[in-house]
Amino acid sequence: MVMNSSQIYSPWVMEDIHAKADLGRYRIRGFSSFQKVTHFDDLTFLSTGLTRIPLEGYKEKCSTQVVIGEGNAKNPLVLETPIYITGMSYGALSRNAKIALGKGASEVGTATCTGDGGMLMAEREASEKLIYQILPSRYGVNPHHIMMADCIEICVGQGAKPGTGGMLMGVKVLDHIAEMRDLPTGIDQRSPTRHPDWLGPDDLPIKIEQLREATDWRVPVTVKLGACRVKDDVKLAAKAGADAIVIDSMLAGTGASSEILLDHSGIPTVPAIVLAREALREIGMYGKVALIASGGIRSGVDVAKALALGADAVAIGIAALIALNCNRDIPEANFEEEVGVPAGMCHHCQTGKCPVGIATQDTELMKRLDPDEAGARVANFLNAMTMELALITRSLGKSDVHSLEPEDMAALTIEASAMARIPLVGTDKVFGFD
Amino acid sequence: MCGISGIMHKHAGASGLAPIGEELVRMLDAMKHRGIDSTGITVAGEDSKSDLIVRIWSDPEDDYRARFRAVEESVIAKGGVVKNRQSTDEFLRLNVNYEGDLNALAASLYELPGVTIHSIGQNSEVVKDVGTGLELDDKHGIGTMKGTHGIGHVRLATESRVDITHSHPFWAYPFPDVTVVHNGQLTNYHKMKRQYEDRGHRFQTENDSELIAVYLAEKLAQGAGLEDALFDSLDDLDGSFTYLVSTDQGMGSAKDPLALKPLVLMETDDVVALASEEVALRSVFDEEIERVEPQQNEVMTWLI
Amino acid sequence: MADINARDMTIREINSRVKELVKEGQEVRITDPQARHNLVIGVLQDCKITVDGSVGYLCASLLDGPDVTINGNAGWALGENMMSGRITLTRNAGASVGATLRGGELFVGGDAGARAGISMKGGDLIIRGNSGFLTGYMMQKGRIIICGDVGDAVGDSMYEGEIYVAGNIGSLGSDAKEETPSEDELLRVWETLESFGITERFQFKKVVSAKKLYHFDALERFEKRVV
Repeated sequence: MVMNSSQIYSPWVMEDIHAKADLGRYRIRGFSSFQKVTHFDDLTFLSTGLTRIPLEGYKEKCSTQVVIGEGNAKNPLVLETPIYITGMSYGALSRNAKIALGKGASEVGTATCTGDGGMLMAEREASEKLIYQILPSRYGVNPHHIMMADCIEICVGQGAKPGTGGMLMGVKVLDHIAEMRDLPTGIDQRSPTRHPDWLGPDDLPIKIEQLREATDWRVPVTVKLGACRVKDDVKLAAKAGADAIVIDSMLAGTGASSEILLDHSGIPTVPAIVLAREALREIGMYGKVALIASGGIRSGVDVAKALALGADAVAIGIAALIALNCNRDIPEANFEEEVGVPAGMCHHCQTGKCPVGIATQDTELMKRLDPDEAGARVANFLNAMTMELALITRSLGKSDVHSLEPEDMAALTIEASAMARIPLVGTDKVFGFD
Repeated sequence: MCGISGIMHKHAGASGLAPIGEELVRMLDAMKHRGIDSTGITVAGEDSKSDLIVRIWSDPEDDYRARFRAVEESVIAKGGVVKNRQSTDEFLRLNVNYEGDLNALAASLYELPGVTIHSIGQNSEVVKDVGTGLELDDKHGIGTMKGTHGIGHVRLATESRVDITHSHPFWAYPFPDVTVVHNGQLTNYHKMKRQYEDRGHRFQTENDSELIAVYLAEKLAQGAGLEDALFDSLDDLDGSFTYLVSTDQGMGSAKDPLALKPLVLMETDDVVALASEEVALRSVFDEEIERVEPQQNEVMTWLI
Repeated sequence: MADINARDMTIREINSRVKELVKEGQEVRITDPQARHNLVIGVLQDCKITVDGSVGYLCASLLDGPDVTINGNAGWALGENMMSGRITLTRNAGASVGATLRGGELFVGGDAGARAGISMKGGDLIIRGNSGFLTGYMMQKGRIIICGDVGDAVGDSMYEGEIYVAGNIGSLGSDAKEETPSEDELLRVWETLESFGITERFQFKKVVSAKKLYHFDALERFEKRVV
């Protein structure tokens, strides 16, 4: 008997067709893209030998600080490590998760971000530096909270679902969330994709000016983009006057999105950073407007590679949730029973049944996440990432993580060479370029 | 993406020409925050009888004087007589007495390397350059241009290049006197452009807005009225667009089905002005008059 | 009353002067605004501000408390995200007037452009004249009162809230439906109009959400509906 399955109609494809045949709609899930694409693992660092002298890997001073918004903002955003926690809404995440992220980020002198749905006061209190996100939905937006922010981010798009709004399934739109967002309790929230008060790049400078005026030019204003038509978008955001541009790749995560957008829109992180850098160079703004990369950043060495390609800082989402305990088989949880898959394979954030109390509004589930312990894990993870970043930087003979450059790396595959615009290892050739 | 403006003096012509150039400079300068890359205008209405006004731009990296000579040689070879020539750096303006087939003349210029035709027309011409409206006036003296109507544009480049040729207004090669300024981004541009190219049309740029000009001009050449051509465009174009068109007959506006880009209008018995923002209209109307905001799928025309 | 002539001032200068003056408890009048953008932003206290002339985009936005009168037209998104207070515009409003309004009263003396009251989350938006395409688009809460006609797709994808229309309705948007308002509701609408000096007893129609798009119809395993 032949034991195989079709490559085109794989068991997973068949399951997908069966499910849609039952549902009559697109499928929704959380987590991030399931696509295998070129990523940081396809790049390797060329540490020092005889040509360059390394710094002592464990001790010597290596600067990791990054400052965003100098020049425009009276109080620029100072991050002690170039890694911060990306916007994830209170609603998608539990109250305990939001507090833990704030505590963890504050512990290491970096920032966290509100995400959609407004500012949770407990998060503000737990976060030394808090970025306030302005999204198309404007759920919970309050000028008093804008004044309390350390930075404002205008979200144009997200890498997980560029060109469309966020989702929050009714199971999470309980009374307290519905009230904050001015929505009826229990509805399947599908957020707007266009901002209500401005449309297009020619209106964007006016919106940026408004937020600067509201805050009396105290804090930076940044723009977040889903990485698609990167070169044009980055130029437009820079010309509109953003202090920093967040380029969020197709590898970025979400609490709920249509599966097709998670897997089939946007470009990977490596080319997104390179294109954004080149866009800023072409208009003479590289180094003047900060570049922040996000999507699939899992370790300090990923951060180092992102910085070497041209980013000034990175934002992490899923990795921070995993540090909280996402997909961890903790004693209180029973993944198979509660979400139907073993720990390590859960991407069921949209169901609100998070077995570890992160992506839920269920008060019983939330008890499985202690904000102090979870906050400490996030701080540990951020510290570990920062140490890794500094370690690799020192091994390259550099005393500042912002001295990392593309020439510090080689590409392990032809695809990575073309996308990162650096030579294939063992050759002098950058593939795709003459 | 950008700021657009248009103005018409309804009784100009009969009672003498209006200071269209000066008014467009004021309107565009008031909206310069909407587009810092480049500025351009069409001024229409001065009838040059059987003459054509030809506006040429040549890449300054090349020997543009040699290019200009080649342009004149082509005109003469087609039987035209150059009656007047003016140039500012790499910009050339010719008055040509020409009675032949315009397609043939336009094609001979199109085929010259390093040359872009900014406009050919009997009663209108396009001036466009990098910089603001005031800078355009300083360099090209557009503030002194007179006419019955005109359209203008400040550009923030979105998906195509930042250079002079990709600035608005776009002339509809090879149709005389049809030019367009556009705010928005067409989303079926590449597919439509290929269909036009398959039918033998030629484009001078990679800009989506040039397609609108060619689209309208083809309809007009086939006998459609301006209003009908504008209405048809609402169905055929996809994406976001608010645009203004200038022809030898007058001026028109159209707004996309989702009303995604702005347009406001003020009109008196003598003058109508349109712009992306009221701040531009204020620069030509001092008094408080009714301001109208055209709606989705709305088409308006003003004929001279 | 403290006067600010805006002609030769930057937006930054105008707005910081406004904030200084209202902090001192002064009533403020801005003259010669030349339809510029971003005037009167983020004022978070009770005060009285008058603008003599037309304003541009996003004016009188992110407010909590002020009573603002604008004698002229306004560009896009007048009053965006106001928490409380009162804005009176004497002439026409551009697109997205009252975008994501959360409280207070916003009165338009003339017509409103497209998407009036988009993503409104509370408060009252009152339009003396006509209102454009997609009025009340994705509206969540609050009331929109239109004394004239309203364009196509009114109340498209609205969640809650009410849209009252005295004149003709171009067409209803997705998931919007027309209802007859109750006596009580009419009285409350008339009362609101009276506070802006409108005493005509318009017979309003009422547009609300049909609530058919609240939920996805089918659920996957482990997905759950709570209401």
